[in-house]
Amino acid sequence: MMLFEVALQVLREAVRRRWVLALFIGITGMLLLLSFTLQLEVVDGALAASRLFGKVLGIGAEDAEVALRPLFAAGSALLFYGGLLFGIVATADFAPRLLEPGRIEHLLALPIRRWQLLLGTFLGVLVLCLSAGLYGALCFTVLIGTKTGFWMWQLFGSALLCTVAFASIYAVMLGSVTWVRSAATSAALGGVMFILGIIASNRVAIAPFITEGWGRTGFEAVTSVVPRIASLGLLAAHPDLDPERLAQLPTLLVGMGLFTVAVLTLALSNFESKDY
Amino acid sequence: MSPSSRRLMVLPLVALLLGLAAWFMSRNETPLHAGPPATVTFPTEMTPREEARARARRTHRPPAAPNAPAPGAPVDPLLAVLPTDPGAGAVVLEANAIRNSPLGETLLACMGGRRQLDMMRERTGVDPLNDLDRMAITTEGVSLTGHFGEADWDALFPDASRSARGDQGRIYELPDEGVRGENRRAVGVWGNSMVVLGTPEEVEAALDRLEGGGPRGTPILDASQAYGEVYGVIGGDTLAMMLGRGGGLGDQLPPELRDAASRLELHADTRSDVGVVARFEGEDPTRVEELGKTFKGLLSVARAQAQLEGEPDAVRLLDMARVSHGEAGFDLQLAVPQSFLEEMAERCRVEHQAREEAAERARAEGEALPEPQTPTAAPEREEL
Amino acid sequence: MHALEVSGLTKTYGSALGRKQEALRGVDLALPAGTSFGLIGPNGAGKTTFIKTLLGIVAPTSGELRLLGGSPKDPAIRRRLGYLPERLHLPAFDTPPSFLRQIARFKGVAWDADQIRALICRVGLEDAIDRRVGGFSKGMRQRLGLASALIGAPELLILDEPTDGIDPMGRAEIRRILADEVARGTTLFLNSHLLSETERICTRIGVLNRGKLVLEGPLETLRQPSPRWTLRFAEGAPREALLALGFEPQDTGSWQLEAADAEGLNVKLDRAREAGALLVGLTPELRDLEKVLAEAMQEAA
Repeated sequence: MMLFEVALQVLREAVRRRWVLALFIGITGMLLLLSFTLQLEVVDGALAASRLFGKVLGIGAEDAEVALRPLFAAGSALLFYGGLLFGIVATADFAPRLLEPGRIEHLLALPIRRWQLLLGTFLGVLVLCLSAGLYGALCFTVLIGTKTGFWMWQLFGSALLCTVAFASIYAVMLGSVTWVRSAATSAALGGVMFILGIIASNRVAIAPFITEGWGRTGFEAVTSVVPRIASLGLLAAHPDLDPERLAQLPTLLVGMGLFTVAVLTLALSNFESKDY
Repeated sequence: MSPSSRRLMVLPLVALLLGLAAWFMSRNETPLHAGPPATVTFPTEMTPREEARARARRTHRPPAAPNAPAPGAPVDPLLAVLPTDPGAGAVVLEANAIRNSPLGETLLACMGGRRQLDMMRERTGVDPLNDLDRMAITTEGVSLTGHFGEADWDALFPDASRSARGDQGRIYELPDEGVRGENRRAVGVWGNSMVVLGTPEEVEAALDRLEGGGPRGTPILDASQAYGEVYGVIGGDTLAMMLGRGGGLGDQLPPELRDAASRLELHADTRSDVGVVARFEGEDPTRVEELGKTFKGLLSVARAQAQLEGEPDAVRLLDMARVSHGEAGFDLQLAVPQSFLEEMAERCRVEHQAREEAAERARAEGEALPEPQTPTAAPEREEL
Repeated sequence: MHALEVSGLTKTYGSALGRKQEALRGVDLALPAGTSFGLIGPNGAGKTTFIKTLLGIVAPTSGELRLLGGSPKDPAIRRRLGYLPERLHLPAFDTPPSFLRQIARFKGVAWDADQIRALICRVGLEDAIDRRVGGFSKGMRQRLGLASALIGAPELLILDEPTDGIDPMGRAEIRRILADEVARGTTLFLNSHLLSETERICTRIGVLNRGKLVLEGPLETLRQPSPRWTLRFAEGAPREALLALGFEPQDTGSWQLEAADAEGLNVKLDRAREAGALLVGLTPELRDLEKVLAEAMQEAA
């Protein structure tokens, strides 16, 4: 229960942050703007007209579900990558603030175990990320659904995948704070993980460009451990991919989950033995 | 135990977890690229490469007399033999180009490899894979271009009556096997580069058109329309017949729209992914537009049906099908991604291998060979 | 029963360069329940490290440590104590009630709004009850920190500089609150650089210097190491008789006497009265805490 208490406290703090408020206001504002400027007309199951800011869009004249797919793909990609980047920036100082001198001693003197404090923070941040994602997905889906009569639930999957990807990134960010209590370092590591995640997703394509030998072996070894952020992003944007690629999803999720657990285990071991 | 030694004890566990994570994430790992094929080219106009190809194919008609000047502009011999009746239809297949494309590989696999083609080469002296350049299927017959110098036509048609036609043509009229002469067939050979199949009259007319004799007329397929690896035109009567006949897509069209389109121009690019453009045109733009919308609706319904019936291949193909309206009519665009063709080729290969093995076993057991099955093509394409 | 028992407690910090720094060098201390203990010592003596070690925030290198009969790592034990850190950092967006409600939830204490309000009033923050903590002065933060330490009626209060930044009137209020808590039976462990505060609140004192508890005991004993008394007699007291009884004359006109105990003191006083001396004033000869600290440091040196 204490774990959830800590998570709730993190959420309470989060909703009072300007960053997080900006996130929700930003999502709402963008969708409101879209609702006023995007015109979609569906006739007999086909997308008859589509306009954005009065300009005719390149989609249309085909099955509405197919025609709307690029729109949802773009929405999913925006939700996934935008969510990740915003999450990295907005949550970078959550853990450093909890570990601030004068605060951490106070918290550690309360009947909270250290693992509860660390994992509670992790859980709180993930719930925040998921809530923001689901909020964006719901608004977008309702917006398109009410305009076209087509209800596609793809964005909810995208929000979930974004949370999984963010979990692996935030585990590193949170872990780093147990060594160096710095929001800047945490955010920088989050950014590095984001970029490495994209590189690792393309490792099969990149590896042949590296000279065979130690260099390539090293690249393959290092990137094999890194969460495949872009692979998950692709699956989030295109859930209609070929079955072979979709079959990759369960193992990808298990792998990223294990990575997250490994990083958290290391962070926890450091946090448990750290003097404050 | 000191904190540092406790930390050290955790390291093997972390390493194990990271190792497992790496193993799981590397499973089924494929190079990253987005789903829908980005390389599908829909042939909508002639490319410079195709212009050069068309130029290279144009030849002057042979002079009627040894010292007479060559008549008119040079023409593409295959286009020249096509019917001139605007209501007829003709589709040209760039056989050699298709053979060297993923589609060709697929077709070859579905035909059971080279064995049957080798048999054909031994029998006729013509290697369809190497000697055949183009094939035109028209409402009046079939024309082939290529290098047929190795073929011994006299030996091939020993019972046929042979006659010369024009400067380089000769016609082999095959013995009539029909009751009232409706099965009269003839093979026309023009030099070593063209063969025309049809009724004796059709073959004669084709050879006359090629050499500039006979009644003057414009072939239904213009040189500027010869782009893509498959191209053709289907005229009013033939098109109305196609759309109006029972079964397939035509059956689902409202009767009042079946004759809305008077002309269908077809182009397919098969270099990697197959992109097909079928351009429908008609006299009444409103009715043609209605026909386009109907097609659009039919595609939506077909896709929904394929989804319901759990046919992922059909869904994938229909996902890429679209109708776009133009000034004179509308384009129906269909795409078959290369990956799809490769999958199909693999399926055909496996099926064919299984049949071969079954036949081998049956032979070994002294039983009769099983009836060879027709290779399965994509049913959804047939329907379309 | 002891509220706090420490024996042979050491803490050595190691740096990345391999240098070691001994913050605590074998501290022994036992505080009976209900004691009000004041820890004093110069800067860098290891006072804050000692407090953090007691709470499990810093892991000891060696030694035994029991808090309220258990380990400070046990959340059940931590639920029974209240702690105010030296520099309490509070979430800026919180108001006193929301902050205290959260602490109550962490402690597993089901306090209603009235109880929270009463506590806020008790520490003198009733005027700032709806204000955000971000705008609080140092003293106000300390008051709120003290309130958080008092949640759940703790059996042991560990306060690190509780009156730091608080005005003299406020300090008196805090003293009164702490006195109430001690009267309730709470054990108080106080670390304050204000010796006068410690002197007024605590009944037991410990002097920590360079990681070692160099002096520890009841306040009175420490302040009165030798049993001397200052006496004032009415005019006309027999000087010779008093000198013969062992009274020592002082420049100020008063007298001093060394008596091992109360009985010895009264025997001497009876004899002086018999000799004709009339007693008008008697005060024990006490050293102030500053002197105690200075002497302890000198001895340790």
